[in-house]
Amino acid sequence: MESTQRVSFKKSEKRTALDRTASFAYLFTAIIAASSLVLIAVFLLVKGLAPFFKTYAENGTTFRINFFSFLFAFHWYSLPSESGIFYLVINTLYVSLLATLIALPLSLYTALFISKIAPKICGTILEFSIELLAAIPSVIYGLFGREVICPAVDSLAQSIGLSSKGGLSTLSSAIVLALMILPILTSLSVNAMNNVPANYLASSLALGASKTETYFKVIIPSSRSGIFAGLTLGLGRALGEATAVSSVIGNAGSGPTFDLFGTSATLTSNMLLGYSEAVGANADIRFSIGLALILLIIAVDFFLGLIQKRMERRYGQE
Amino acid sequence: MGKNKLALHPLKKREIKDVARKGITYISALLTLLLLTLIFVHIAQGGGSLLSAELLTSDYASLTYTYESSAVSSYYAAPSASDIAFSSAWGVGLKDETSLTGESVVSLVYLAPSSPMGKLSSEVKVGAYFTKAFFQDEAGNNVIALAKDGAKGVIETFEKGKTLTSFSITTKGGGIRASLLSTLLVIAISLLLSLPLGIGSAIYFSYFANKKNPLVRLLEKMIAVTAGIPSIVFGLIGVAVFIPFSSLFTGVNTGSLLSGCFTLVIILLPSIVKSAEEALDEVPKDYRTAALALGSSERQALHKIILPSALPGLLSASVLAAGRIIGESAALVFAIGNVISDTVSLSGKNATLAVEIWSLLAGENPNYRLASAIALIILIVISLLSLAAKILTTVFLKKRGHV
Amino acid sequence: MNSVFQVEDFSLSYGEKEVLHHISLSIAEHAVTAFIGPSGCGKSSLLRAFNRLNDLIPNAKESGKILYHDQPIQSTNPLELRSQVGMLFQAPSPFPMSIYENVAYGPRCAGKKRGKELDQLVQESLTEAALWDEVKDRLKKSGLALSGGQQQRLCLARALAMKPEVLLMDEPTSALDPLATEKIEELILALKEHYTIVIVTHNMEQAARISDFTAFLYLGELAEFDTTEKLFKEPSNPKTEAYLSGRFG
Repeated sequence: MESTQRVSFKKSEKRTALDRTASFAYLFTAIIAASSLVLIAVFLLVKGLAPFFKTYAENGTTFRINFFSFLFAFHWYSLPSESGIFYLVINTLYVSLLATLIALPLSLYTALFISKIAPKICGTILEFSIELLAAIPSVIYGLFGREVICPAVDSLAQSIGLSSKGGLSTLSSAIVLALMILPILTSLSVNAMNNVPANYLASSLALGASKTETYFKVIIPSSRSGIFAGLTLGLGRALGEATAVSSVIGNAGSGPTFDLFGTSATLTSNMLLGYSEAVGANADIRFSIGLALILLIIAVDFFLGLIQKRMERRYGQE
Repeated sequence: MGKNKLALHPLKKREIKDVARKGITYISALLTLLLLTLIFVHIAQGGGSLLSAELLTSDYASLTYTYESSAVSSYYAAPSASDIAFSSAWGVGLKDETSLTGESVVSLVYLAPSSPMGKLSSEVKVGAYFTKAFFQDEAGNNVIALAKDGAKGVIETFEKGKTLTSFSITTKGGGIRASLLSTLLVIAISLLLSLPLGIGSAIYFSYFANKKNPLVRLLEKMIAVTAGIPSIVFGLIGVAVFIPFSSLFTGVNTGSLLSGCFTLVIILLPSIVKSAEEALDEVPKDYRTAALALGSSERQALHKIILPSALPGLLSASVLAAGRIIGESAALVFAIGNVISDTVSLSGKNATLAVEIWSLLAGENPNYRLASAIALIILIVISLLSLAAKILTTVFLKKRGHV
Repeated sequence: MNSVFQVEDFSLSYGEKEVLHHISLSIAEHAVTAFIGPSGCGKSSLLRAFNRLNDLIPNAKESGKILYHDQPIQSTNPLELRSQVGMLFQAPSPFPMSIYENVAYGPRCAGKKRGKELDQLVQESLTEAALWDEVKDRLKKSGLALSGGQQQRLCLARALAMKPEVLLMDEPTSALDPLATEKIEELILALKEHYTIVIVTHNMEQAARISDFTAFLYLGELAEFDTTEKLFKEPSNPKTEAYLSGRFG
């Protein structure tokens, strides 16, 4: 009896050391994963602000990049000393908001169909289709946009007597972005609608409303917070989308462009523009645009959060 | 009764409204399906014709090879195809075609099995473009056949030639072997680095961490915030941090596949952590309690019972991560570069498939056919991966008794 | 007394399972009729038959007739029927909208759009549900911010806004505390002057307190139906007696 006791005692000692190592190792991975955020924040800040404090010597001239003209000028030339992001910010917001406007009704109605109206099999097929759409990489949306959406927009423009640069335009970008955020918006809306309490339907019917009236007047409003979450995610994605937008937007050198059929440029499309050949100041400035992009996203998220809080106060959580 | 009855809208009007509303939802759903089909069909149409084993295994660059020879002409039977220019003296069939880049070329469409041209090199094969050939005719004079003579003209010269002195062909090019290999390499290494980190973090959060601890919540929040950062910003970090960092391993100071891998790791981490955590949370807490009650330690319970239970879910997370890598473009434009070269190495700047598409589109003469072909490959792979992930998740939930 | 509903040999089954067997009774006007009985015996199913909410259940099959003012309800348009037969549920479920919008919901669907008329209707309904004084200053605030008892009265106001003739109540106080329950019971007694009320309750004392007629349902059958006074004092069916003395629940 004694020997068995001793054996188990030793075994539990060994166990503890391995256990401690294991749990520490897992904690360690979590810390590394979390620290990537710190990495991003620090380097983006440093490299984003650095170009304004350096003196560049290129092509026989020395120059410094003017911080204020960077912020407020309305054009982007090949010399970074004369470039401004203000119009890029306006364009980015304009195109993204337009995209959200286009995608929202479509995704709401599709979500309603999947959640409440469609027979189960149809709903499953649709949900898988949406998953596939969500998995399609942005470049392919860019390719599709270039080959299908741009010519369509071009024909549209010509049919109403306007011209466009082969369809490379604000409208094309908005449509492509709308297609890209459609899946997120739809699936989050479906979730929200599925989670609406079952007795809302009974209560509404008992008040003399039809099923369809209930779907539109009760289910959709009750899914508000889930839909809003989808909107936030979708808008965030649209603001940060690079390759798809850059393929269809036309890269305008100045702006802002409100004309739907005119070429435009966003923060992200300018970050990509000519990057492969960029050196020196031209390359460094991309970090500053990136910093501006992140600040824009933070501002938009904050603003959306305020709206969400206001909504909750008025309508109550479910 | 004498009560003020509510004046109702005519029911017919309400019914019509209902039909219209329902109709809108049907149309919306249909449009969504249509969109998916349209994308697939269009890409397949644009690039499907290009899809072949040759595309996947050949180089992108078009190279010209010249071979010396002293072969003599003989007699070769003509093939059954009637629309090619055939040289019965040399057993070579040629045809006028347009290359992918829009130039007119003379393509080698038939090679008799014992033709001396074919014996010069394995590069002389059907699909290669004829460039030029030097012959000596019966009188001993030099005759030259050039591609600009057109297929018929070239064949006429061929028939005059008695001895072949030199023969040049240009490879088709436009192959994606290098991009394909680069992509596979990047997927393998990125997964190798990110899966342990991501799953390890998920294990920590799901299994070990005390969720009430504010520090733990801070860690979780930090990872969640990273999920919302656009991938192009990760590309910038790749340039700022990982290019210098990987030069320690590769010795080059520019973008490389390795720096791309590191960049992908931080891109993937939030989503791997999230889906792995979900998979782990699905495992019933009772398993852990039962294992502990039998005297095992937390770690043993984790490794022997919890992880194996969560395996399908974890595999699903990995499959999804792989899909994400294939599609990543913006970040890799910055972190690797978009050079389409034909040698593949960790220190090389090869464009991955997705980056190649963007590169093909961004130039002045977009090569839509090749871009669509690559896109088709990516679409097929992603569909298979999504299906695989779905099956894994369903199997996983069935085991839990959910489905 | 006039009868509002006439139930004739009514049976209901969900798929293979028969839940109600050959029920016949009538619901009197301007009175409170209670359905009592052990749980699972079909009380709620019978109640829901009156406003055709059973239509929601895919494999529900009915036989027999229910007449509303001598019209079989199966051939009446359900929307019309439900505008005259309102319902209150066990768990108060105000919609996640403002109090005003909750009450205005039914009338709006029915086509009432005008501002002032609607305002007045909302006020009347909230007053009838004894909620107006408590919420008149916060009509635009969310309906979910109210207490349980207030929410139930809000649902009552919501139903009243349709100006129905009948109010069906499915265990309306079982989720509420005793004080809120008392308030609702007071309201029911006041409302019966203008409305016909049918209430399902698993609390027989409640039935004894507030109802004029009581139907005792046992295992899907109508075991006994009589005035409340008679049924409670001298039940004719031995099963009724057993239930009332608590020998089974």
